[in-house]
Amino acid sequence: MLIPTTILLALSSALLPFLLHPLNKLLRNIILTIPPLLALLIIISQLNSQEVPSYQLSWLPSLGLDLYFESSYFQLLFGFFILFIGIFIHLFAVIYLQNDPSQKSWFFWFFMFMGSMLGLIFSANLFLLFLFWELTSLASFFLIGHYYEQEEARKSAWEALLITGGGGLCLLTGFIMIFIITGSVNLPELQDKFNNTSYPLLTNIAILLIILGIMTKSAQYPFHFWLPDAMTAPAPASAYLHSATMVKAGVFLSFRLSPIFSNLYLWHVLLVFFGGFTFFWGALCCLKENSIKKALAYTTVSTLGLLTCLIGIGTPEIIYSAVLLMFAHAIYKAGLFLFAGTIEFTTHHKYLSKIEGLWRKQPLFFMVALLSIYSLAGFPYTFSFHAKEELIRSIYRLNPSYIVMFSLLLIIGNSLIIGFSTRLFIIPLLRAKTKEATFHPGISSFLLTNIPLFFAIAGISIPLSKDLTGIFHKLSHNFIPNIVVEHSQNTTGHFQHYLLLLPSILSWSIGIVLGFYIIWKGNIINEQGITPFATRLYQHIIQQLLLQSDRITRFFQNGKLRSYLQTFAVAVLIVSFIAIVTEWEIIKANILTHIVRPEHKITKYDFILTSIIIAGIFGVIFARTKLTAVICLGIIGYGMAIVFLIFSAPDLAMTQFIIETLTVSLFVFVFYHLPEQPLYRRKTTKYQNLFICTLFGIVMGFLTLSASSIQTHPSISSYFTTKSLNEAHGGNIVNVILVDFRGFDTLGEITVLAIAGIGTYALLRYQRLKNHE
Amino acid sequence: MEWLFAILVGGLYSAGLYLMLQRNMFKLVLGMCLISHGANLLIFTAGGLTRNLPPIFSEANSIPAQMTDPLPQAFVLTAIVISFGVTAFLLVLVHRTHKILNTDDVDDLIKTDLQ
Repeated sequence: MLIPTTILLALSSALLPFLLHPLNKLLRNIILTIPPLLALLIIISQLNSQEVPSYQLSWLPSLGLDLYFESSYFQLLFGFFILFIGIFIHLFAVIYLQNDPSQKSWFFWFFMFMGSMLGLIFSANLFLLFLFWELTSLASFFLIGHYYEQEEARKSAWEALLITGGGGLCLLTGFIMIFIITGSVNLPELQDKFNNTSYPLLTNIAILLIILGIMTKSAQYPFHFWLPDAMTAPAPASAYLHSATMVKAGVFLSFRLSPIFSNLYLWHVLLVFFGGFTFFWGALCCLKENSIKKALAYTTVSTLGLLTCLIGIGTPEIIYSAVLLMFAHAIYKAGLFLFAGTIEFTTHHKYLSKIEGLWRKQPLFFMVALLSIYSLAGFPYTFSFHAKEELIRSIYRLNPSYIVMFSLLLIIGNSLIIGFSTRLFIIPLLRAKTKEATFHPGISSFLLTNIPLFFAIAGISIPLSKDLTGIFHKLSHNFIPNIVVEHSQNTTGHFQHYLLLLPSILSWSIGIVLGFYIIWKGNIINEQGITPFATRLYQHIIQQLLLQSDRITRFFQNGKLRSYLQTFAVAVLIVSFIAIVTEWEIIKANILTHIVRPEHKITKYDFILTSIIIAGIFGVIFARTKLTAVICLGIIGYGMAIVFLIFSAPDLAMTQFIIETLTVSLFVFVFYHLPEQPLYRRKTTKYQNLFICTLFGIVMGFLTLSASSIQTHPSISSYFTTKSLNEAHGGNIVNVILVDFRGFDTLGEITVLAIAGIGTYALLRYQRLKNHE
Repeated sequence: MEWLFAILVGGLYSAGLYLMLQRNMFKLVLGMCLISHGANLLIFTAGGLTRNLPPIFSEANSIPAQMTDPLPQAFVLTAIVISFGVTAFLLVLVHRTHKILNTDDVDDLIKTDLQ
């Protein structure tokens, strides 16, 4: 029960800004932190308890949808990080957005995100997880598009929503497939059921789709481009969603699913391949990028790639080190993003080259950057150094060929990132070329500085504190059942220290040299930033999509009645032909009974009558004047009346006689005044129309034959025939049906007729009034 | 007997559709009329054709089982009346269009949409 409470608490903060509208802005924003603080306390209390609490409530049992939450130690720790980082970023945002008129909606989506992220972390039901997954995408959309008056922000928000939302749909499909395969979507049950399945193809497709979802959410190549573009969001949102938490959702999901899919080849191959490439590609891109936030986003992409790759390798030690790396990254990256946010807030610049000379003007602020960069580069005694050390140790336990491969990947990727770190470190030390960059040290920028400083210090102090390392040691024992890490300070004796440090030292030295080289050759950096190929591809696809859909719409919605009718008729023909072909045997049997063994003898009068009607039809088509056409129409109508008369329907015959007389006189009345115009035809489409119409007529003839011979349900007519005389006291059954049994239908019919009559009258009268004027 | 009427229904439908595919508004109305005749005949035929057994209780025939099915007749009766209403409205509409736009080409109506 406590876990759903934490989610609800975080969500309740979303509504508070609106409820507390009358209060002072600052007070209101401070009150907003209370519910997440309470949730944080709950989670801390849970961290110390031994058992794994879970909460289950049947919601839609027929769809396998339960409100099912569980909280292992790993999940609790992740939840702790979400709330902890979230509260500090909220405080930062309070100052950052103090003059923003629409800050209430920003806080709404911020806390919506916090709640749904917690839900995502704790949910143990895949469908529930998907629900929260899409909620986070939605919150991200609104937070990226916060400055909606800027076109760039709107575009980026759409991009993020389309990519992550589309990936979410893939994920849902994958989950549904898993539901089909195993019959369960509850994660704890899935573990056992998945091993003895016999759908290899479906399983692989499901895995492919789930990995697509993970890749889009966690910005893996080739879907990585939305993340740098999402940096149009206000800095706190970038720090929180697009580095510390939301983008980790994909990684988190692969953490949760890795024990289930651990014996499936495809899962490992895809994750390692795409993750590894993203690690390299993101690091390469961040070197070339000039905008601080975008470059940081590329380092995030790179780290996410590394995490995905590590989960793909999937030995318990490596997964544990990946968890450590993820937490370390969350802390220092939040600090770095807030640092970038402070720079934007105080100088309104977002390019790296504009922070030259920061060291002289704001030494304290520069310290923030220094400490965060220290963590980013993974220098000794930082949390990320600790995590990477753990990682290298666990890589050394793999096969020798893998050791070479992954060490090489790690060295290359890390040296690229360190090259970027060096740049970020050196540039503020340089003397400013221009004097325009002015920093306004004030109370707000003082506060803004302190929060990134806090994160920077946290990134370094965690491995130094005994209690905090204790938590992670506990984690190593708890979070995945089969993980066994004999872990304490002295296990490093197993390997030589220099061997452990070798990859790090190599990447540091290469990276620093690379960083200096790039600063020296300053012209490598494109001032306007880079547009990756994937972005251009995405833009091209979106553009083409709009263009083609416009073209298709114009083709079908061309405003011509004839083409609509043609489309309709062709669609009917296609459907009917499919039906005729598939049900040919039945139709043939029915038609034969009607042709070979007619139930009624056909008299010569029937032939004469039919011939007259058909002659009337031809007359209508080939008539040269309107009057001829109307006379032929009248012939058809009277012919119909005689048909009704012959086949035992006197009421119909009478009605048809009256109505036909009225129709013909109306035609004549209406067209009497109009000038005679030729009934022209267009030669070009004549044969096409003729073809469609002939086929349409044949299909309708088939329908008539089939309909008159097939009886799928018992007739209800006997009810009317037996009750007519006894209960309704009427001899003419048709009349009794109309006015008694189905009296309300007739009322409706009369209403329709009355409305048509009023419309007709109004149109005629309108015309008369016009004439009068 | 039904196959003869099936041909008739097919003829009415194809002629009706053919007329409706013309550009002339007057032919459009004629096509509508033909198609409604076709629909009436289709329902009537599908309900079963019997001679000289009207669904009316009389001294000559008072056994319900020996009467023709009254239900399709009730439907067709409704359909005839409704189609008359629609035709009347359509005719007046065409007439008005003709008066205002001075055209009986359906394609010319696209332009008024855009104005």
